[in-house]
Amino acid sequence: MRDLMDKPAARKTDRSIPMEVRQAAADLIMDSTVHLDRMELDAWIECFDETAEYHVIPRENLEVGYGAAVIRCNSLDVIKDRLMVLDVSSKYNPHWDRHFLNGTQYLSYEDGILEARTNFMIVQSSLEGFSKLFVAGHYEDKIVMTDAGPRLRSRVVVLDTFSVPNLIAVPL
Amino acid sequence: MKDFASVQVNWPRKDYSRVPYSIYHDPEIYQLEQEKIFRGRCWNVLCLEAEIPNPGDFRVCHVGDTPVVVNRDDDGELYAFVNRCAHRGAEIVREPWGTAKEHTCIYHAWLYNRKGDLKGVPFRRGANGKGGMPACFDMKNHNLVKVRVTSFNGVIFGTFHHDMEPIEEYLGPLFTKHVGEMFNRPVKVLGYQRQRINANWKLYPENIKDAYHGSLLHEFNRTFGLSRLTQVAGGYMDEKHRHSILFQYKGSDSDEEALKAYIENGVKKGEIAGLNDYSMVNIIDENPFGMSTRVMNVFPNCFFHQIGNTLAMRKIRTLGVDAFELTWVLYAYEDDSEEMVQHRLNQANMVGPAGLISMEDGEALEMVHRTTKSAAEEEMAVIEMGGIGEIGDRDTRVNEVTIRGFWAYYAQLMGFAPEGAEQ
Repeated sequence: MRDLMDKPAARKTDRSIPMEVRQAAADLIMDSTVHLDRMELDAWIECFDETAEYHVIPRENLEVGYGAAVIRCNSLDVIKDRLMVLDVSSKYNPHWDRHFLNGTQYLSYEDGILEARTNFMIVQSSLEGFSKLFVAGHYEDKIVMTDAGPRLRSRVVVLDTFSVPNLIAVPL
Repeated sequence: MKDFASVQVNWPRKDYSRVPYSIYHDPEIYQLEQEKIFRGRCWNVLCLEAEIPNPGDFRVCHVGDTPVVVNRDDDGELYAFVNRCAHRGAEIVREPWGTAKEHTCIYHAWLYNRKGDLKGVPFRRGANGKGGMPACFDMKNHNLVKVRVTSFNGVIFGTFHHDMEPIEEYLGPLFTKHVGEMFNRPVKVLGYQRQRINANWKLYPENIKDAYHGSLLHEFNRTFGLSRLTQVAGGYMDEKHRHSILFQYKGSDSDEEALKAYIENGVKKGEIAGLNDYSMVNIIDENPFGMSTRVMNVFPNCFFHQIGNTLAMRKIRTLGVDAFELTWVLYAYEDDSEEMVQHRLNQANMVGPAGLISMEDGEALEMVHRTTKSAAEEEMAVIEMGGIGEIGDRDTRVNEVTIRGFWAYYAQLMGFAPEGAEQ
């Protein structure tokens, strides 16, 4: 898990990565979060490759080297199971999410897989129209370029706000 | 000391089957709880020994509102002190965890050893023959406030009362057995899950002692038979009714009879068709008592769970009358196979702030807290499931008697139990 961290050396943008690859990845990253904001979870899952993983990991666990996550989906099946449970069984605070991303950092591109990193904040609004910063963190994405377009091979959500305000129901 | 004689609670029933909503909101009650419960005659959980395995390791924990630093010294012994400088009250340790030879306050560089003894006051004798502390200043009289610590099978508890009974006596035989079994061999920490819930802290032990809600609020439990009201189950307490264990046996009812019972009781049928991957709900048999799930509260701030194969110590830290932080310390055994560790990590999807059978609790607590704030003085919670009157164990989950046990002990410690009340 420690290799997910910035330390020891800060990673820099790889300027040799072709612009069209970067743009395709940027579109995918943006689309994936807009799908979450709009609760289009069927469309969100389409952003993932069929061998995809999705994890939400508290930053404090990464700092110590502990493996526990708050959401741990080792396969697309487990991601789908979580969405199904969310849809038919989970109860949570009615709300709207809005993701705010900054620019994506493109770190490497080898064997058709792009490594990218994007900071995010999610502002959560109640149905009474009150908004607050919900969580902040960054995505560690591995994006595979397929014939059908770019897909997430893995997304690790590193959660700076690991003392979570109440609960996480909708994926981040 | 503040005079709390004015703090009164209207208990209309001596069996605590009515709980006034104001008890979750009154700031004076909250202040009194810090004194009588958290700094009172209780053992509070601090952390696990596995979190501070090496000499010099420390971790900042909380007893109610009070920050406490737990240290392991060179000889392996455990010490704890309140994280408040004896000089001007500044926070001394400013990292949540780490390793240190000693602790220095950044404000005026007063230095303390791992036991919390004052070992250095810069310029105590002044400079150039001027200033300095008066001759009567004795460093020995200015140590940090010490917290007595004890380790029960690697679980570290602390108390402000240096004459507290031994932890085994505090736990009583039932909890010595179950907590002891959950920590019967060395453990390793898998990590933390944390959440901040905007609700009064007492709603959490109540929730943990509430057997009734487990399959009604958490539909995932009901659908996959992890916890159902139709199962062989129970809610037991220690003899003072302060600690509780809720347990059940997966597979002791059939899906068909459970479905029928829930429909007959007007509960909507769960619509979960099935999972693509069932490994999350598969339980590898390891509980020697055969329980598929057991969830405990050790009064006041400590909780343990074995839900299938996920294991955790949970603890709460108060954040004022309207909020608390819940920390889940997930662990495995050192002798677990790598496959078992992975299984425990996967099953942790069910617990924590995003847990498939736990995310609803935060929401339920916030709802209760939010809406009871505006309740009139005579409005009260009704706690009658499992029967009224005498407080005792029940062999069913259709039961809230364990919640009444909490209030009975709490009211005694707070000094406002009604005369002739159930204990």
